[in-house]
Amino acid sequence: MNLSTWARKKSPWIMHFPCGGCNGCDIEVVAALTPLYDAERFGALLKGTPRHADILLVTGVVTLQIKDRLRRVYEQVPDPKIVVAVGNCAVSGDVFDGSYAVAGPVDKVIPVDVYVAGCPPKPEAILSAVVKAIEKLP
Amino acid sequence: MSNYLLQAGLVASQFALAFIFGWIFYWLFRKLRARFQCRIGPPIIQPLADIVKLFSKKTIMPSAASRPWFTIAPLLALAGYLTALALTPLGVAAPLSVTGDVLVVLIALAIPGVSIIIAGSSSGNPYGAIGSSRELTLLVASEIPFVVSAIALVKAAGGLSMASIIAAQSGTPFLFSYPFAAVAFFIALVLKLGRKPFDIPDAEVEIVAGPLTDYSGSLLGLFELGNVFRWIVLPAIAVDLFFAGGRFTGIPLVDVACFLALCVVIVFIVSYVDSQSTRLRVDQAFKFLLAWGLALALIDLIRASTGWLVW
Amino acid sequence: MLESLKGFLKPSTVPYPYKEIPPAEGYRGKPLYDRDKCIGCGACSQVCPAKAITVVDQGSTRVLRVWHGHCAFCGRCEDTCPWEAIKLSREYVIVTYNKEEAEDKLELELAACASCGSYFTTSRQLAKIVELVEESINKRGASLEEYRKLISLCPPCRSRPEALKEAFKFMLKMG
Repeated sequence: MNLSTWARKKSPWIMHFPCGGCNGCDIEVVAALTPLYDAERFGALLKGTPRHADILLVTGVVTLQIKDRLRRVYEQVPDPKIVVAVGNCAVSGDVFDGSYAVAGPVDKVIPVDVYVAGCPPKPEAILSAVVKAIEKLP
Repeated sequence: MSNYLLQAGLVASQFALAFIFGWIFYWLFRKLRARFQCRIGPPIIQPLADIVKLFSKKTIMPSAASRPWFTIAPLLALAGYLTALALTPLGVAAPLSVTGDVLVVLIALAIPGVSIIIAGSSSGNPYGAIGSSRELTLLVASEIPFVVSAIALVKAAGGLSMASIIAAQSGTPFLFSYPFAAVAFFIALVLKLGRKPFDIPDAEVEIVAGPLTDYSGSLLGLFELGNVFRWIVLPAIAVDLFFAGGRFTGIPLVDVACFLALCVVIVFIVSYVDSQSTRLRVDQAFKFLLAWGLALALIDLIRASTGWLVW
Repeated sequence: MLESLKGFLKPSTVPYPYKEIPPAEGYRGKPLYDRDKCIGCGACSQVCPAKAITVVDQGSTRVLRVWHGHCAFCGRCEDTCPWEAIKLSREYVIVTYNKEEAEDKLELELAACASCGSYFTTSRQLAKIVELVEESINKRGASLEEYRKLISLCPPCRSRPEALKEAFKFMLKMG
């Protein structure tokens, strides 16, 4: 494992992007950053801008309005990047599947690497997804 | 010629040592902040991993940015810190010293603030513009107590070089004889390090990421590298100006150890203040710095220049 | 202020992979089938609001599948199942590279019709029906074997005139 792969595994910077869901998964994502679960011991920092991030955590089902914006935010993340779809709405649309306002789950718009199922997934599951995701970085 | 080579070697070794100390102090700050927030912090390898990772990512140049200023900004920040570093004694004498040392150091430490302003304005992005206007306000506000307290100490020491300030503290350190200047300098130090309660311009989430919003990859890596040097230069100057640079005995190793211990004390106090405070608004921070910072620094300037109430 | 000095000495983090906070008593984790109790009636798939449970007959097996990527963890399947064969467990980590892998599948063998040979229900369901009516049939003195033969016909075959006559005769015997 060379130096840059090791560095990418040790310092995953996260950006959290909520599309149109109920925000339950968003609450669990920010709960994963609280002292009880502490993502900073993995080196994970929450960044405000996609240009600083390595991992894009997408929650919520992709509505028609947010589809183009999601595509733009994905393209602003510099390579190499990982997309994690958090929550059942992002994985498969869950109860909103087939609705008139919904463009589909996240993998209809951007390529997804790791799926975390759950409604909402517990913060421990989100942290283990981040750990599983960084194994995929080149 | 060999004199120049020797000096270049000394400067290079100063930079290498300072990188290691800066890494340790930046990690210490993050660990202490985490501990004060009741959580476990990052492992010691974290700052190095961050910098190496940033250099290995792709650098995206935004189309609305002005290319030359966008790339120059992080280099300017790094240049400012390195210039100040070459003239700062880290427990033993600095590798380079000129007569007007303190002035050069003060000016060099204003350059990184200017580079953040350039970074924000050249990104072509409204968040960058807001961030750079906030940074401009706070730069003006922080320079005043910083410079006035340094000038008070220069007056008390009678010479304009770091070596003479350190020599003048051989009796009592300036912390005890000029405490008001110490407090004013400390307030300005917290702002220059970019920590709460004054961390408005530096990467916060209110306006996405402020001036650094559009930076990615190696350019951001250069800013992070500058940050690592910032965490050694600023505490070093504080220790040099107020604690006699740790030179209590004449033995070099003991001096360096005292110097590092005092820097750790400063980092501890800064991280405690950071964990307990909230972020002040720009206008609140400006008023606080001008009211308290300037008043306290002026008291000591008057005391140093006229000799009244000196103890 | 004091809290952060206390927290300095003893952080309140529970470091996840090494130590775990067990979920609460009624925690609704992923729904899992009880391999022995399920008879394949499909009641769970009819009430699932997210349409996460599918019951598909493939050849001679009935495949019941709950897809955890589509489940809303509401617990309606657990409430509706008459045999308590699907329960929401307390496992909550469902992380995969491929979303179709997050599922729980159960395959049950289908019973063939005695006269036409087509598959119409699971053999466990027939066994369950016999088990439920055993007592009342034995009380009225009718033959359990004959009953079993009667219900091993698929619905189309059951409604043919000869089969209806047999069924009527059996009901008369029951009194």
